Amino acid sequence: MLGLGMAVAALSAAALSLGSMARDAFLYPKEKEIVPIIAGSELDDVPALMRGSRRSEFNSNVFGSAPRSKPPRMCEMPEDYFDGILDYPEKATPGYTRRNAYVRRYKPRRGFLTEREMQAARVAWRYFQNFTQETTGLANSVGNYPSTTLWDTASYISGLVAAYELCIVEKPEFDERILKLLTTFRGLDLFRREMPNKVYHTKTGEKVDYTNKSGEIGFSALDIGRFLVWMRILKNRYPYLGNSIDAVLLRWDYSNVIGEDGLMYGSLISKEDNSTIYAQEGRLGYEEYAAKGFALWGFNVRLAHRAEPYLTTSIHGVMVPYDGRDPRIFHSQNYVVTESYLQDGLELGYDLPHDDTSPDWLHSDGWRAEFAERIYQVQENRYYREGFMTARSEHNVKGPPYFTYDTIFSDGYPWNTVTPRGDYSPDHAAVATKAAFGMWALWDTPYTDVLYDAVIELFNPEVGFYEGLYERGQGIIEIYTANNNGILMAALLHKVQGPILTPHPGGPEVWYTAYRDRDARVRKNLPDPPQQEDWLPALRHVTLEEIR
Amino acid sequence: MALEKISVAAAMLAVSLPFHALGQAQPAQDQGQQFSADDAILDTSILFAIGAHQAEQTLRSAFGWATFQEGLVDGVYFRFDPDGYARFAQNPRLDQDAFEVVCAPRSRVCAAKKGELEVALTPRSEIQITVAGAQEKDAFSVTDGQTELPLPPRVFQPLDIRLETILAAGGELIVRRDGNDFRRIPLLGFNAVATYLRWVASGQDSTVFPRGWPVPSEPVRLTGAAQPAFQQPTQPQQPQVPAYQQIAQQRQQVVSQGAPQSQQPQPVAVAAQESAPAQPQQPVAAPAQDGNMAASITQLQAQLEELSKMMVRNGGVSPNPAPPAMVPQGQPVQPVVHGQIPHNVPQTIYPQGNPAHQGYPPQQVQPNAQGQWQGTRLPAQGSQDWNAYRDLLAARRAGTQLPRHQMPGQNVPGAQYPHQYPAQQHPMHQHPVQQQLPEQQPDMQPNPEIDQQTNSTERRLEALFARLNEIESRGGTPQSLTIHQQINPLTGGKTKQPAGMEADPAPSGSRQQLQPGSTDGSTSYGSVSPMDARIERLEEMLSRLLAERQPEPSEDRVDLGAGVYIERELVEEIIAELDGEIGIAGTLQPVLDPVQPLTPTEQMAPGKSETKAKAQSGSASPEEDEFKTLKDYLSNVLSKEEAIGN
Repeated sequence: MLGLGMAVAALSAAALSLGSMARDAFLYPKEKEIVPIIAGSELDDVPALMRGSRRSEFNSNVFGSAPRSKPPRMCEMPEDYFDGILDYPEKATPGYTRRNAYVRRYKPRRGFLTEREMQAARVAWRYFQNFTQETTGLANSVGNYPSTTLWDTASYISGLVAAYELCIVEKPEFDERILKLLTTFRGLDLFRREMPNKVYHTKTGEKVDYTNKSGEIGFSALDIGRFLVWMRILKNRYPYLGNSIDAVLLRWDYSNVIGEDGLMYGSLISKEDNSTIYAQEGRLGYEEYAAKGFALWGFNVRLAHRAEPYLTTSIHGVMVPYDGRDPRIFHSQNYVVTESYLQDGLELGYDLPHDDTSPDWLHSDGWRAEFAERIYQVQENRYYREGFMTARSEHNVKGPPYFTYDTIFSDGYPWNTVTPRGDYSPDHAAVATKAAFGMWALWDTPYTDVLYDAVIELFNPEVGFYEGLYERGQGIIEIYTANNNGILMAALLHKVQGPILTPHPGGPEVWYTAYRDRDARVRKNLPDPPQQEDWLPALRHVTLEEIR
Repeated sequence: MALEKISVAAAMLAVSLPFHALGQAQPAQDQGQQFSADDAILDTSILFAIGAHQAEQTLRSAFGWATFQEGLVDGVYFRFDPDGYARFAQNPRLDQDAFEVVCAPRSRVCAAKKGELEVALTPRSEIQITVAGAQEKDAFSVTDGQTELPLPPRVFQPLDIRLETILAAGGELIVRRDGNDFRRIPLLGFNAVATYLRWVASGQDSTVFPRGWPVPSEPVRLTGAAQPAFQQPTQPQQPQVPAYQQIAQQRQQVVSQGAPQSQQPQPVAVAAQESAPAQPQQPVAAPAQDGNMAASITQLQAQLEELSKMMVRNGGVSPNPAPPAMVPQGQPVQPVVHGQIPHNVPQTIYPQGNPAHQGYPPQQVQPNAQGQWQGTRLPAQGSQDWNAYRDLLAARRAGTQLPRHQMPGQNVPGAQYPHQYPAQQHPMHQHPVQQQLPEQQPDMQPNPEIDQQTNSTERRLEALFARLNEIESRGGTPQSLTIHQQINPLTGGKTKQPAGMEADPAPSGSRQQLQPGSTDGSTSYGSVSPMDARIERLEEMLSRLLAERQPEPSEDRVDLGAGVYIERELVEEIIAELDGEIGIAGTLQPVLDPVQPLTPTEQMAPGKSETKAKAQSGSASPEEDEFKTLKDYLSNVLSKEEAIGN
């Protein structure tokens, strides 16, 4: 009996083992042979339901390096916070690295704000206190004129973030303002149910045309790109806003704003049949900055992020890059101004969207940093060679033509100040306050000290900072704008905290997981979490030194 | 420590500036310079010249004009926005040597500026220039690079046809001080700018274009083009006759600061009345005109023009219209009358500034036989006569309008006297009954003769000199035509001078000497029978037009026959209109020397001037009583002229 029992037990054990082996053999036949699926590869057949749960890949989680830390608010910083922060290692020699990152020749300004700078921040914030509409939470673009764009709304958000981080406002006010704004955006009437209209009435939140009358005129990919940059900044810095932000962005239809070629497309309305016309939007400088905004949300904008086609022109010994697309053919001007390069530096640190680890002195989007340095250098050279204090950008002016592109180069002319319709308007050349502050923050040089002195008192304490100082001595541009004051505050925030975009906090996002059970993601061209293969490449371009 | 201070300060600020500050009253920021859709006064799809086109602006801001118009005309490139902001320059970049035009918000009051030169339009659609920094002792001249023509000081008054033509011919305006060049201002684009100012003031009416202008075949309205606000019901009514001082001040703000100071609608019209109550306002055509009435008006206009041409042919005088009244040298620059006064009647001036502030009534100024100016005061403001005068004007404004004011599209003051050589005189704008030009081809048919006259100063001068020689050959004495001997800095000699121009001007020239045709026996037009037929025709049309409006006889009205009466002043004005079309340009005007500026009215028919003044003053005279009918009146006037001519 004992023997029989042992035999049965042995048989049972054998059967169990055999069953287990059989189950393993039949149910998991190739488990050990599974190759990790990489998005975009031939093996990318992961069901759509599962793709949203994959984590977005950044430098930190791919290479295992520590991500940058989110800096504390200025009022919470220890006194020794900035000790050694600008002590760059010896290897930080100016120029491109082997990985096409770039080390700039000039250091940014870092440290606590002085009383004078703090006063500037408070005055700039006054603009938004004065001109934010209670009904919608939107801020006027220009003074009390009740309209705004997404570009200028992003500037308002930059001012709001700066005000909070610089301890000008506290969290209750910050939350009230940003939630009001996001709620308004959640309900905005889109341009033909696609993307936000170019202009909105700030009091009513309705779509308007350029004369602020009800109507729709299309959408701007550049404006949306900048808005996306600040949505990502908000979401990374304040994860509790994530759902609100995702709800806003998930309403939009991205099927036309990003082409399959990786370019960005704006839209306008055909005069002939009222249909929607999509046209490539963006020129060198603005295009790459806006493209990075889309890339921060997982879109493939490889071609838009590339500098090519571009040309250079020599101005004061600097090879100034400008867009190589012929305006006569493409009917779009190639203005070279400071603004987009400043915003890339202040907000993104001239880093690639996936780079959350590189130190402040190393810019992984190398050619952007190098081009920005040229843009700075040519303006400094003009000052030292011609005497013209120069900090050029696009800016509003008082009265007609209301807006000018105060360019470093455009239409074949250096220092060309042109109106939107193409008139040469040198009388409107100016030291733009926002450009001066931005250059002051990113380049700690004697020249930016001069710029700083020129604009630091250029304000009305009750209203905000003026737009700028006319180059030809006509005085102050007595107009106040959201863009000017917002960028100014971002520049001051950069001095305290460095690049404003902080690393992704990790974890899944509704932005990637929503609508997985329906075709909405396909119809709206919503992206999947970016994987390493989706990263924008780090490129480099020939410098003047290399040519020599 | 510093950080603590900052933190404390920030915290205090945060407490003191709660979020509900969102709703606080916005500061009284001067945002008047900001963009306003209501500032749109132009439809950029209506072309200013052949070859122009509407384009879209590259906007990145939250507001602005979505469209503009650009083109090339009269040798200059131009671009303008819906709010009238425009630039004119030889270079397509519109950068160097450019006229910049800025319009006062929500009005058609515009001014152009190039350097120190500022060009504006008076409410009577006359060009008036100013030169910043110019002084009284400065000398002004125009040069085309070879010859130089001195300009009289009245160049700073509203320009007459001759001065405007000279300036429009191009060249350079030279301001000399103590014998040295103080300013040299290129005049390239002057003609285009002047035309543009009139075009804007007239509401983009192509009839204001001068001869030779490449007028587009028809207004081209593109689908979806931005419509100017003035076409929208919410648009506030355009100020019709703003006070010129206020306009100038507003314009100065606009030009010097880039924008006016207030975003609110400018109460220009109200202010004009307040500041210059003595200035009668231009009557405004009723917005909706009866179609038959408009057709009749057009016919009447054509009849008038044809009548004038006939009289010109019979009288042997030039059809050029008259210049406005001139003020002799030494007289202060006078403000412009904003009333319904034709060019050939005395102008109202204010002897000591604005009567609203000085207490002086406006003064009628006219030259006497010696070329000296004398004034006839209008009734004092507030007096019974003044009230009667004002009522008279009000009645005229209300409904008794001259037919020419009812021309379609001419609903603004600037369009009523668009130019001394208005486009209506151009074949392409004349009534089809007269011209019978096919609709497809009239646009590009500039008159080569006019081109020759207007395209350069030299040609204009040559024409003028030829005209003088012609007069002189007939035995007339060009007494008032004197050219100052001008030393040409390049040649050291005199500039071109016509034969006989160095003769000492006779200060007491008789009217007989002034009358063209008076010595060569040419036929005067007083007794030409075809003209009588025309007058009868005119009577009929006036009777038909005005019968229903003025049925009641009155001392102030003239019997047209069949129990139809019209206001005497209207008759006066028609006479004045006829004068302007007929005789004045044929007479000699002191183009170059204002020492003896006999007005055309003085030269041609002094009696009419007197009558006009009396009519305006509300007084009656035995002479007026003689003219019971229009025919009588016209016959009397013409017989007087005939007597003068003989």
